[in-house]
Amino acid sequence: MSIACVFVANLPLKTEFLRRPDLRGKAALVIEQSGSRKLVIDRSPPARAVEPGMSLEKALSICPHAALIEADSSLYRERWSGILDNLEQRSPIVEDAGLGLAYVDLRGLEKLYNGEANLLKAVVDAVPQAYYPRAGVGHGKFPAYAAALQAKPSRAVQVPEHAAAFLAPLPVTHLPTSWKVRERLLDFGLDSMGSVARLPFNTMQAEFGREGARLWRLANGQDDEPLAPRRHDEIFTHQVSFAAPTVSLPVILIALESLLARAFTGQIRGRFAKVAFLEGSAENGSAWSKRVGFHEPVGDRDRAMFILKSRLENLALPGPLETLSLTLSGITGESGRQESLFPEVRHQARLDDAIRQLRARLGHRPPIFRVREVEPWSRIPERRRTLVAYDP
Amino acid sequence: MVADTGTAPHPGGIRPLDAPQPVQVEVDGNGMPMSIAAVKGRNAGASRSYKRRRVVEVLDVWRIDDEWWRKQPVSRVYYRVALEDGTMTGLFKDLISGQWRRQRA
Repeated sequence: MSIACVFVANLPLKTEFLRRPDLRGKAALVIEQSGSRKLVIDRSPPARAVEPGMSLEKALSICPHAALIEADSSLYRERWSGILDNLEQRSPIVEDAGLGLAYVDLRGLEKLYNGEANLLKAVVDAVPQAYYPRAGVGHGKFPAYAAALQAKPSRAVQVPEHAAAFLAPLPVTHLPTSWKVRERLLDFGLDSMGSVARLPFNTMQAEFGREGARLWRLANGQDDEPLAPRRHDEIFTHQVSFAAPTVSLPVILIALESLLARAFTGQIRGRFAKVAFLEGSAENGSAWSKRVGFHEPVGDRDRAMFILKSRLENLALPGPLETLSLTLSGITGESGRQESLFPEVRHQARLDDAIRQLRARLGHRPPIFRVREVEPWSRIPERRRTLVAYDP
Repeated sequence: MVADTGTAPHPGGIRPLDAPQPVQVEVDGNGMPMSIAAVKGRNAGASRSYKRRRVVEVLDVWRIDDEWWRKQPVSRVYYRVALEDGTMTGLFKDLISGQWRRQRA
């Protein structure tokens, strides 16, 4: 026993069912905006005729009465991260192989759990029951994955000593390769992994190149690819809620400025970030997100704001936003700073310093705000101006 | 010494300025405000004390209908009133909830 594969099928849909139980048993499609098109990323069993990746138009022509759910990718990612955290409580080496698929290193843990059975149970129990995880155990990632696909919900299957014999009857579509290669395998009449494994190694390599060699080894139960442990980078993440749902870019920018100020005066003060990830939840339940990678690490609010503002100029939102969250990642160390030559800048610096001292004395952020005009033309008075926390 | 506003300190984030405040209003037969009482506390249900003041003159009336496409549209009738103590203030009646609010308009 060495590697366990934990597989959660239809994770987006199962997450949606947890918050909308009324959809259980009904045809439902989880859809996501991809460029100018909407694509299906998951579907419920009554809508199984629809394939993930299909366009919404085609999916609706097959399943016209399906309930449509806008994908909430950040929520799915959050739930999956929680599951990975739980798995890390069981084993120190866990690989995140994508939403719903993880590999867990089990080497040396049997004694800790008083045997294999208890260890496997602990791995399966790391995933909430509502997600019906499947687990497979083998001496490599691929055999473990193939075993997980054979497992019943909330159960584990162990690959026997002779992995090739276990894999032989399984369909060739289980092999992790491109759709094009899979089609070619089927065109050659290679519909099971056994049929691939029985071919001479050289034949597969001659026909499919390096990919053919890799697939032949996998079909024979040979997979020595090491686990890539999950990375735990330091990140800053914070969220603000809008007083009223908004599509107004000035309001969103003010919220963003407030979040950046909080980041660069607090948790990551004096350090630099490489990536900003913005997420918003819209009034109609759909989600919006944007990832911005900085060419050079950014270490202050104004510079980050300048870059993000330029990237949000042609903002297209799915609806009025109720919340906005900012995640800064790729945090790097401090670098030198040069004081300004100009007196007005030094005056501002003194004010900022006074506020920092006040914060140190109070033990929390002092309730000091600046008034910012947001929609001065609005007929609704509370929309015209806003108070923004003053962060030096 | 600054009086306790009854609200939790919340220096973080953003918040609107000139947010509507709860107010108790007595109206005449035509629905025009006759007297107002400022409610202290975060909402009318948590009011602690108030002082009622008579409206001596309604200086202006106007209506706002906006954001009708949203879940919570805005439909208000605003009144600019002069009070018996000489102060002037803005009031509105929320035509959706039926509640009165005081707001600098």
